[in-house]
Amino acid sequence: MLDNIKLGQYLHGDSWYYRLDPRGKLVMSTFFIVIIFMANNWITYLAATLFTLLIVLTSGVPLKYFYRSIKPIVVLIFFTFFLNLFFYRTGTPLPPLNIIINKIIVIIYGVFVALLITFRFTKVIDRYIIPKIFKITTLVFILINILLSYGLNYTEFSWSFHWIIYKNALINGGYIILRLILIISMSSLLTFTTKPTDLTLAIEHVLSPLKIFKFPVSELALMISISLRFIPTLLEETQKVLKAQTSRGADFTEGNIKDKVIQIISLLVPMFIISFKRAEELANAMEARGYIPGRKRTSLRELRWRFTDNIYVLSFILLTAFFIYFRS
Amino acid sequence: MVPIVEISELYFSYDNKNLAINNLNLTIYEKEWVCILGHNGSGKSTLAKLLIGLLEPLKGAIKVNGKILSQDTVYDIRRETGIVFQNPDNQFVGSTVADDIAFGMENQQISREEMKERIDKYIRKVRMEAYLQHEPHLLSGGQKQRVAIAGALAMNTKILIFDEATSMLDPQGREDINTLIQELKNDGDKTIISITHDINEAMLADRVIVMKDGTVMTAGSPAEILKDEALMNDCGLDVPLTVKLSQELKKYNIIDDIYVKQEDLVNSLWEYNLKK
Ligand SMILES: Nc1ncnc2c1ncn2[C@@H]1O[C@H](COP(=O)(O)OP(=O)(O)OP(=O)(O)O)[C@@H](O)[C@H]1O
Ligand SMILES: [Mg+2]
Repeated sequence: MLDNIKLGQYLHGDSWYYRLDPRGKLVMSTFFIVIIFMANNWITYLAATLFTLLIVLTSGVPLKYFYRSIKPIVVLIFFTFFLNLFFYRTGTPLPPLNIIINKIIVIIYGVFVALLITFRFTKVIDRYIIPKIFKITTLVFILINILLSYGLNYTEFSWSFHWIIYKNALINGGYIILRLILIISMSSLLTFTTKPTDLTLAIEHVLSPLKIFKFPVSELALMISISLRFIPTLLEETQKVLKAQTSRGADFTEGNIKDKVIQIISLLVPMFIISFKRAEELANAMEARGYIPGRKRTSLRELRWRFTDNIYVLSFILLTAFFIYFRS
Repeated sequence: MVPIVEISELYFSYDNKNLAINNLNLTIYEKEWVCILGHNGSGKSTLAKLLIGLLEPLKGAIKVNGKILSQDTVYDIRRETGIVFQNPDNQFVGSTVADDIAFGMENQQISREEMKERIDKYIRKVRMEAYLQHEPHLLSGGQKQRVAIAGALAMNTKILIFDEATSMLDPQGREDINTLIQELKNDGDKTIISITHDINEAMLADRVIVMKDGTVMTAGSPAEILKDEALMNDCGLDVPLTVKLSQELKKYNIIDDIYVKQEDLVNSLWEYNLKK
């Protein structure tokens, strides 16, 4: 059950992108999320896409991993696109294909909801109840919004109500999808090619100016790295508890909501106790080895800023300049 | 002999009802290798934690390296004391083996070059050089113990405390560590306190201390302690093979004493052989 959770996204490999300084990668990936919002026409989006593609294709990370990280949010992208169609209501309308489109959409939603509902009530065994509830509420939310935006004007509202799609809504929706994909690709690339330890170290360095305000940066970084280090251990522990409970006759696969809650509690309670005990012992071990929070420490790991890092940063500055010049 | 750890009239309780440490008096001398034996729950780990100031005694004083353990001196004392705990899982701080060995040194503010040198040196001593970049969840219990030992050694402290630090090691691994401890003791100024259930380790020590119900029951040389069958059984341990063998041989009047050290037994057997 827990085997398929992959920890840390780091993929072993080597390329110019792997060798970049994690500080540069971290800052530039964040910077990219900011500047991508400056793009607002086809030429700037084309530039952003080509830029990202160039980096992605030369990074040595197989494309399927990017696809995998985009897949979970396909639903989100889909909803964003449609919401955009509903709410973006300025500019030139598209020619009224509306009646057919509307019917198809209403039918699709209707069938979707009906399927979800029947599935929910006919099948007692239901593992994925929470995402389903989430989906249903999202759909209901959207339907209510459609009804509201049209329902106010009863003369317009009928089963074949006129749904006008605006041209800009389509284009804008397309841009939104593109933007999400680009952002996700760049951020995934960072986690694919940077070890969690290096990333934490980079965070520590990047945030170090906050030390002036007495913000505990090093402590935070240590906290992150310890949490990361303990995730696999705790997962292993969860599996053990799970097996222990199963061997005593607990069933984690069947039952209604109430049973599920009881099952989850029977898993959570021991896990909490175990985590607290571990945390205490770990704190002891750290103290025993001379750790004093807030005290200066040296560091075994070091980050090296190379010439390629300069070029990497420069390329982002050029992209920004391009955006500023060509955006409309 | 210069005393390095002096404990007088120490009391400690986890729950204010049962005393985990009950009027314990103990002096350990510089460059001594002391082995602490005792059955489960006799307070050995508690003593170790008290020594480095992780627990606060109810009563009594602990003096380490001439300093009385208190809020002000606890950090200095920890700088001079390395410890390896019983459970290797929960003392692995770093995200890789190298990071973990470095953790204590980072706290001591040792330079990067020096750290790298020491990591290189001690990782070899515990035979984990192939695992330098491994993450902790990919290591076995015994391997984690080896890393913990390397981490404590790398801190280069005057006093080393091993709380069942070799409990998960294979016999060969234990022998390696015991040899390592002996080396450290011979060519350095280290004081070693090892808590153990391993009689082979106790045999090598300078002095064996037996704990029971939170206090020192007896102390003496390994030769004295380890041949006392009743005492050993009381610790939940068996007497060493050499002792058993000498007991049997004594029954047949082949030898007339009980020997703990193998070479002593061998010598007396030679004597018997010559006399015949
Ligand atoms: N965290 C704790 N909270 C409460 N009581 C504890 C705690 N740790 C130990 N004790 C109690 O203190 C006593 C001494 O425990 P200690 O861990 O020192 O034993 P030990 O000699 O190290 O045993 P072992 O050989 O099993 O490691 C035991 O009776 C134990 O129940
Ligand atoms: Mg113990």
